[in-house]
Amino acid sequence: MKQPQIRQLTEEAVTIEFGDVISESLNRRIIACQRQILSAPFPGFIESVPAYCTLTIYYNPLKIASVFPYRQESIFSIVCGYLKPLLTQRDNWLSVAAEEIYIPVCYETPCAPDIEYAAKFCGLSVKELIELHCSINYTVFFIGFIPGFPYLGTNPEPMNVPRKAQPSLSVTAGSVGIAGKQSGIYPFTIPGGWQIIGQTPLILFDKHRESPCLLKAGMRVRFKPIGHSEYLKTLPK
Amino acid sequence: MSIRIIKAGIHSSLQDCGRRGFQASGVPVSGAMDVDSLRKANILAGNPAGATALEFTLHGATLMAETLMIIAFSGGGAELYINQQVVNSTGPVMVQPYSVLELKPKAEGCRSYLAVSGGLKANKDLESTSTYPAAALGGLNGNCLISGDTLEIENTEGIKNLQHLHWRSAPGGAYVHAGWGSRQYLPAAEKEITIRFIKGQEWQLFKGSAFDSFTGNSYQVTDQSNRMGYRLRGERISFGLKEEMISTAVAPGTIQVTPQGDLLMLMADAQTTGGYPRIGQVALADMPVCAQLRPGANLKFMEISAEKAESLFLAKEKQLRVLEMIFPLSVK
Repeated sequence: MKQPQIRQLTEEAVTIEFGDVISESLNRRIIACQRQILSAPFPGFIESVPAYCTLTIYYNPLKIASVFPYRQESIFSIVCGYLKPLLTQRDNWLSVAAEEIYIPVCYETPCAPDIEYAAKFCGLSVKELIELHCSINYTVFFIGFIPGFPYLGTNPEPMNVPRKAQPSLSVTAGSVGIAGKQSGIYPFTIPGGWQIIGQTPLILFDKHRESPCLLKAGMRVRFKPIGHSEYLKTLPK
Repeated sequence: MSIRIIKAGIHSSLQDCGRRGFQASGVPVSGAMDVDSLRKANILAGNPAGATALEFTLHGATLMAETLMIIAFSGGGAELYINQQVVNSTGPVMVQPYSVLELKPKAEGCRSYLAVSGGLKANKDLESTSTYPAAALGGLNGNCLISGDTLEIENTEGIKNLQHLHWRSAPGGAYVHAGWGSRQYLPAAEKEITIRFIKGQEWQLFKGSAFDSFTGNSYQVTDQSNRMGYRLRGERISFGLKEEMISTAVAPGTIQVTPQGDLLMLMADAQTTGGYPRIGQVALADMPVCAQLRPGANLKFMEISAEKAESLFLAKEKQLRVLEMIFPLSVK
């Protein structure tokens, strides 16, 4: 396994690079590292942002400067000093238990405007595509793009349809999309380029919830098909 | 104690110093584009530096102060007029009830800030009042201001502490001012601004002539620019990248290169992750300067070391602390 590299992103952030491939074991390692940092944050720590191969740590340089008023070294090297010991503890990352969540999805028209195109592109029937999409546990690699948008991977073979050449002007909130090896869910109604194969009645981002984001990096997601009437019934008013 | 929005202007919103701690949920930092000017306006109005204030883009907004209030205006994307008289004071200004405040065109700058003694009431979502309309966070019901909105003052008692100041009448008597203030830094209109940056994470993709072209040429802010980011026009940067990059963290100030070779400079409402190669990262100390670049403004990039960027940032923060200490108002 590659030794993680710490690199400066901004004057108030470092990015730890764990590797250069999209893989679930790398994701587990990143989430484990994130949990370790969160369990004992260093003075000045603000937040941590996981992505496919990286964990980015944001901190308050002024806070760190006030903790070390007579420092000779840079704030960046002080942060590296906090983080390095965590990166050499290799055993812990195996033991991370992942939370699992079912996401009900209506794959019927009018919830699935692109499903026929996507199925055809992948050489599948619509039914086969739905079965495939519901056949595996997806990993939430990270949340990005807009609040609450999960990057889910990885679509089983042969699901590998590219994004639209021309993004749709409006993708409805709750839309489940696929793009390449990834699946994702749109938390808000916005323009978007992924192929929409279904819709969930769940609210992905709600600022009034204690934890606004339904999903977080490291969680496991399983899609469950529901009928259109059930979708309408569970759709929040 | 309220302010009525008569004309909202281009993109007027309530902002504070940003929303920290929710980027792992995809929530951008947001906050004032020119966070220094917002803090300056607040300090001059006697507020905590990070209090909620108004951000305006260029000119066009008209407001009415419905009650007696003390304001401070900074940043300078527009000229402030009170009852049709230009405000030259850079410090606290007391306005009489039913005064009309207008933002009129100015040759330079892009963003102005109006702080009101006592702070402005706004929705606090995820620990910040910064307006982020895409997820309806902060501001007035999660939105930018529209004509007819009314803004309330958070602490209406505070102004009593300020009335004892020795106020001077402005020529024409349109308003009174404290007679002191803080000089604003603003990029000049015609001049080319130099923005300092540290190397981006993928700078090695741009070795040699591509990197030279980035630092040697001048770029122009296009009108495809907003609070999320600026698209820059200039010499395209070619680079060799066979596959798509794997998405990773980006931040305000990240300079990305699109597959066509165009530069994107991310700003306050930047997405939390991105997949374009990062050629540079604007020094935090220069972000307020970037915030003041209007479409059409020209800029050049100059590389500095990460250590230099860090010390510039710390020095600038120290200056703001000094401002906080020397200005006599306090509404708290």
